[in-house]
Amino acid sequence: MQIGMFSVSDITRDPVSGQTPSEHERIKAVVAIAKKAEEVGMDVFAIGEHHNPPFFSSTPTTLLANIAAVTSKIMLSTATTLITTNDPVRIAEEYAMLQHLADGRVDLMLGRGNTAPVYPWFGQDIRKSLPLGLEHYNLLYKLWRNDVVDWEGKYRTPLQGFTSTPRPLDDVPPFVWHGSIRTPEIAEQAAYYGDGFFANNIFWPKEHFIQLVSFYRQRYEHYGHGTARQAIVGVGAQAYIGKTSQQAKAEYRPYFDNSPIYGGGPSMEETEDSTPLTVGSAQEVIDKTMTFRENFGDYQRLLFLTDHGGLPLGTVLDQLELLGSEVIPVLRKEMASGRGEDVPEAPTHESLVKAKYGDEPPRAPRPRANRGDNVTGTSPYEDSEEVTPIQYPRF
Amino acid sequence: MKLLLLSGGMSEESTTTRLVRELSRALMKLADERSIELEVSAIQIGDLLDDVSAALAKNLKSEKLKAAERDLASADGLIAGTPVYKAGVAGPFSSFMHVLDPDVLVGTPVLLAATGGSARHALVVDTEMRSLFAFMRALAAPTAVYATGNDWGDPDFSKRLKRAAFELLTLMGSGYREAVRGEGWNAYQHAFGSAAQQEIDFDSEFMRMARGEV
Repeated sequence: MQIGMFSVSDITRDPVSGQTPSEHERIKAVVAIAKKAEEVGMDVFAIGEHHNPPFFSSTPTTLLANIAAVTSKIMLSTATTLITTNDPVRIAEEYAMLQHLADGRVDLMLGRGNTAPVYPWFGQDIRKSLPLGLEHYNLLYKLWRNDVVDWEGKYRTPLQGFTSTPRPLDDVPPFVWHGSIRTPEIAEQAAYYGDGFFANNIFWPKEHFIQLVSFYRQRYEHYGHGTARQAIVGVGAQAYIGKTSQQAKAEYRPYFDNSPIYGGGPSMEETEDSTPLTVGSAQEVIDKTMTFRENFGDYQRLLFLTDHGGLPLGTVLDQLELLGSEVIPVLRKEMASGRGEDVPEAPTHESLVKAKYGDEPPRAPRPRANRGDNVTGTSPYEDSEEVTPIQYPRF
Repeated sequence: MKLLLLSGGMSEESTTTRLVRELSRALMKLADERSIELEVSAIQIGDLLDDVSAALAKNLKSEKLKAAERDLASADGLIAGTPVYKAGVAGPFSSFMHVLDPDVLVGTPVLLAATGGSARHALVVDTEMRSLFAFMRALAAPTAVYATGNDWGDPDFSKRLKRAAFELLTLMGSGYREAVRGEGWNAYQHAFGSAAQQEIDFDSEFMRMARGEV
């Protein structure tokens, strides 16, 4: 069971102090938060991707590479990487690069993004969001698994004899989670490829997700990757912990009431009833989190949103401390008990290397001398077959 | 058959609720004469105001609202009435409609009714309500009923009520709703996880794309 945190990278005015952190302050704070997450025993740190204020995380791999350099165990991920507005070629390159620098401590979660204005900023059309995302992932999947790719689709210029560099570490691509809150086609794609499915259930009522997760599980089995209960599922969580329920509620209420997401809607108590948000004692957070398993079955990854809505750095670090000392150890124990014995852990780089190579040494691609292009001649790597068939463009 | 009454009135005593009830009485009488059994239930939007605003603001549907949705989805016929406050369908009624799962009324015969302070807004039933229910893919009866205070004593008015009720009863017994929700169902667009979930079409363009086939 992987338990970690994610940040959406919002820079929000702290409603208690009245201060809004600068971009620089917040970016540095997030690095400190990630270090703390590792220190308190979390398994995953994930960062969102946004291209508009008040968010800072336009380039997740730069941030994650920096965090990789100052941590040693924690897995680095995203929540989410935009599969629609990013060129899949860039995603293939950037995350493979990150994977090398982080020695394999990398996976990623793909999402389509629902901020309409972002699409044209990157030359895309939100009306085509779904087919665009599906097609981009089909290409990304190929780029990470084939040294040389010929490809033609609807939404991107064709590729002939293209090699995405660097090749994934050990020639094992990062594990991919597909995030979706309502789209069965995304669940279908995750199931087809045997990838993970992440239901970010935090802002919506649970009924919404139960159907989608169970659809993904059935399709995962349909495609022969394992039984439905062996499918790889991740879910979101959100908590604010206090010594007592009353203390937690008093401290968190101004952040809730002024939250760009929650403010002006149903009360904090009503929101707690219908979403995963828990504001209370450590025990209350544990109790609420344990209900997720009843809804979604045994799952592999749980990510807490910890730094949203203007909470100051000191408070976020204290919250991580409480999660790490009072909540996570209990969750690990309770999740382990009664867990199906055949339910796998979420894949890691080590487990994927092992699955691919067994006890053999993994592939370490070494390029041949420069040929000036990818189209002519033999394979670009020393260890691949002598002649890689090249498909020339049709005219 | 199940007949559902939906009143946008704020209370049991509101004129709109009274009109909806009058229409249901006319319909029950006709059904009785034809030995058609009717099971009648009612939704009063005035009881759901907080639930509707929470759903509008944050997409959170209360148990009460979900129960109302289930009632709508299972009704064989609907009498829907709203007050006209300011030259249009009253806010609570249209807000209620706006948060509904778009699948719940597909194929459902509906009798449209409204009440207002003057005859000047008589077209609200035909211009606003009819298009709203067309969006829901419901089947609105040709005769809609609009009433002001002056209408209640008018003998022509009860004829109109009776005519409207006859149309709704006839549509309810026509088999249209069952056919649309049966054989015709996949011709309509449905949201995943909607109250009236259909079979997923694994051969759609996007599903094939998900598997890298397109």
